[in-house]
Amino acid sequence: MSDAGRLCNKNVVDGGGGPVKLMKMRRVILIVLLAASAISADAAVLREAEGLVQVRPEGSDRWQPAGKLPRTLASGDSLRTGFRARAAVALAAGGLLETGGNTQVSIDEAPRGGVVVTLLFGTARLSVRALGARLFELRAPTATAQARSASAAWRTTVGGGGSAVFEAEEGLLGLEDSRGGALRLGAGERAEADLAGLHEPTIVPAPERARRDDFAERMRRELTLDSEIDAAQRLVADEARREEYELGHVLTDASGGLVRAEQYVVRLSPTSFEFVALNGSRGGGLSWYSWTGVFDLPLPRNLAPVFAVLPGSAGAPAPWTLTGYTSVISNGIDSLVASASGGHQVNVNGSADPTEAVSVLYDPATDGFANVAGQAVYQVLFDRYGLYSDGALKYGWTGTNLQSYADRIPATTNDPLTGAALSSPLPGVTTNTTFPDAGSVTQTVLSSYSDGTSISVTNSAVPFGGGVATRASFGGATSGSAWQSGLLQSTLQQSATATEFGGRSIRVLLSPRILVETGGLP
Amino acid sequence: VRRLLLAALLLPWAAPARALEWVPIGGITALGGLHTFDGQSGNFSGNVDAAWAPAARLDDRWALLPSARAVYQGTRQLNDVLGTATVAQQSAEARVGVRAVYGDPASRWRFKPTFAYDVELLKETASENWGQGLFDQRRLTVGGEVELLTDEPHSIRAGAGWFTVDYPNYTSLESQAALQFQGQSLARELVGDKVLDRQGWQFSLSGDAALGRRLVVEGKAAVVWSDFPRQPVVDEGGQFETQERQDVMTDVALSIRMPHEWNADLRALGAVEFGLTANTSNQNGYDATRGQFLPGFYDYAQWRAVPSATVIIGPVRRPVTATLRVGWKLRQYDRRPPQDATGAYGSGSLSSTEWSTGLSLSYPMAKRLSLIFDLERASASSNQQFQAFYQYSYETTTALAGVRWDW
Repeated sequence: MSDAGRLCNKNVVDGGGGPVKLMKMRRVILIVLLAASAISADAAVLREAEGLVQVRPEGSDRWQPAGKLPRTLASGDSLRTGFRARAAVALAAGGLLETGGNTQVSIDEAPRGGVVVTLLFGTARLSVRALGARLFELRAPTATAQARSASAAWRTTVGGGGSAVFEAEEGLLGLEDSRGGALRLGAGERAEADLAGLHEPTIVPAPERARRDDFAERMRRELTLDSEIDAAQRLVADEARREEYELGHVLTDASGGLVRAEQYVVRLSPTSFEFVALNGSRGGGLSWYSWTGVFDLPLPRNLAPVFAVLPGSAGAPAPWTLTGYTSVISNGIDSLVASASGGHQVNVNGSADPTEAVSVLYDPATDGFANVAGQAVYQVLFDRYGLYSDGALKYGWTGTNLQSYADRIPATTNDPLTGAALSSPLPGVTTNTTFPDAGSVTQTVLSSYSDGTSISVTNSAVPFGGGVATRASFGGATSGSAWQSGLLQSTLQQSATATEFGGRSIRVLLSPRILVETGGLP
Repeated sequence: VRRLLLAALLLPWAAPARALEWVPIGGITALGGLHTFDGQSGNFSGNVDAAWAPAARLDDRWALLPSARAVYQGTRQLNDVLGTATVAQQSAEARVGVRAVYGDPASRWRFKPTFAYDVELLKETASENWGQGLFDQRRLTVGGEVELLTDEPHSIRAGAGWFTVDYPNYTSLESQAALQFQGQSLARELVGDKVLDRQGWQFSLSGDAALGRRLVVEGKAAVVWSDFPRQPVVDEGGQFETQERQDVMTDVALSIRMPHEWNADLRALGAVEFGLTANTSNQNGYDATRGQFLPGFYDYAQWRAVPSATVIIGPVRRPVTATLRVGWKLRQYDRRPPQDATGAYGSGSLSSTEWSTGLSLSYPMAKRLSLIFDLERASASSNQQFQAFYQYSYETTTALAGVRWDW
């Protein structure tokens, strides 16, 4: 409770009832006794002190403890109180000055036995009876209050900037501000004064009401402090959500739905790793794309140099040779699996087949496409390859130390990877790549098989916020490095369906980079 | 039996009823408005924030402040995570708390044990259902605060608390894959499931004081140590270590306010706030599409400065207030390199800058009832060019109007 509140509460007790009357009577007796004992040459007598109460004599700049009471105060002496302290001073004019804690006053004699109390800060209560014609005045930094009736009592609080609040409890007061403004304050009225002058008087709330308002105000402050605890937690929670977005864990797909996504690498063995792109959508279960690569030599812990040579190596063969891989796109029920083995590095720019020559090579570290025309470029060719839809072989080939895919032998009666005999010869296949919508980056790769089945894979570039990127944002490119660069600025939504899926489809959102690196994009 | 049970429950409350004095406090703010983000507009929606607290004075030393708060936000504001792509986002929050205040009237010290339970729900798209949001969270906080009254109303406060936060709808996909596709090697060893759940300790120190006759200075510092027991640290090879993630977030703010009065009916308050939010984490990042290890991925520092000017017109109790503020924020990830438009990593550190302006107006209509207008605009830029996942550069505006009722 504030010091002002303590004085206020004292007044609450004084407000009515038996004990209150008793206290009023005590106050009157005290005033009379103090007035009788006052020495005319002195301004006042310090009668009561609780807590830290100090006195500074007129002309001195040192504060002294109040010492033994009663203590006479001369005109011009100052008095100050510490936190929660209080003091009562009998004034020469027959009045009583009571101060709260954190208060500083000085007391001066006035002509004809009057007294002037200067309140620099804090809270003081002044009361006087049988004043007669004597001056009884309190000066605050921004206004002055004088008793204008024989009996008067009021409380004054000086706060920040010298602003003052006057509350008249009894009698009549005359207030005057530093700008010449004046008003009269009756019992039960309150007026504020600041650098701008006096404000309109208002009714002092009843003590009970004041006490309640004070409590409510303190509790409002506590409520505000309580919410500050949450503020720091909110910062942490917001950051957690922001991170999830920054990492691409929450994406918006081509149709505007939210999709959860995670991409990571699993080290399966010293010579292999698996890249996984997982998706989860509400009510849709999990779908994923994975690419597992097996190499001829143990791989370093830091896989960055391994990724760097996945698209190929210019000038010299890569230190690690990808001997086999398996890529899977699945919704947990259906799957398209492409698997290859017998990988070996071939200088494709030195082969006899000019259609396999490479003029630009993708660099995963910079996302740049380096001009390698005329240079030796080593890429991995596989001797065995198979494409499976829900486990059924759809297409494949075999070869022996292939130096060009022109030499591969299409699989017809045996599984190219396991060599197992097929129940029926593989059908022929025709593949068409189209962009069905002239305005958007949506590519459809349709493989039609002679047995009437088909596999359709649709690739869409999804920009930030969902939807499908415009062809214009790709500069109209539909192939080559410009096309792949455009894709790298987006998220790739790959949707696949096949006759074997029975009407279901697989949809995965992932970074297109892994497909650019591994040649998974047409 | 039910009546007896009820009577037994009410008995402890009935006994001190005579001594107990209670004062209900609270308020409600209802605003309607629009939010735009880079040209995209959300629908006209509203924000409601209602708080109610039956403050009880048990005796001269003890007070109890149970509180309940409900918040609905249909219009995003500048203090949200703005770089996400969902202008239609809605959030709701329900919080209950109890704060006890103990203080001997003759003492400068106050002791305040606190307890709070908070549920936040987030609908990121219109098609989601309440309670199923990915980032829904539940938070339990138990702690306490000590306050030293210096020169009322100024004080110094120190607090400490334990918390636990869980995201009931967030389980890592990788952990789901480990369960769903066991044997197919789709998950790493040591994968965690509730990777966002965290618990830890929070410490705070704050205080305010008059600085001369015209200035008031206020300082705040908060430190949140979070342990993510189910989020293992990622190593250089993109695999999990046995160590779990631990973060320390520090938020420091210093504000200076200077009131000024021209006359009884025209006053002003100038203020400026400087702040720093910094996070350090033992967690790393890993770009799986090219095997790039990103140490210290989660470390950042964000500096901010918010100067503001408020004009107060009219009587002290029911003034018209108009506030104009300008905000500047610089967020820097010292150890996270910026990326170009395709995602290739460059040199230096990722940073983003946000400038904002805000205009607020409060106009008293009746006792305790005010009209509120709020307009905010922000513009952010960054050296991060890869923005397929999160938008670092944007223009956003929020306009709100409504009423505030306090009691």
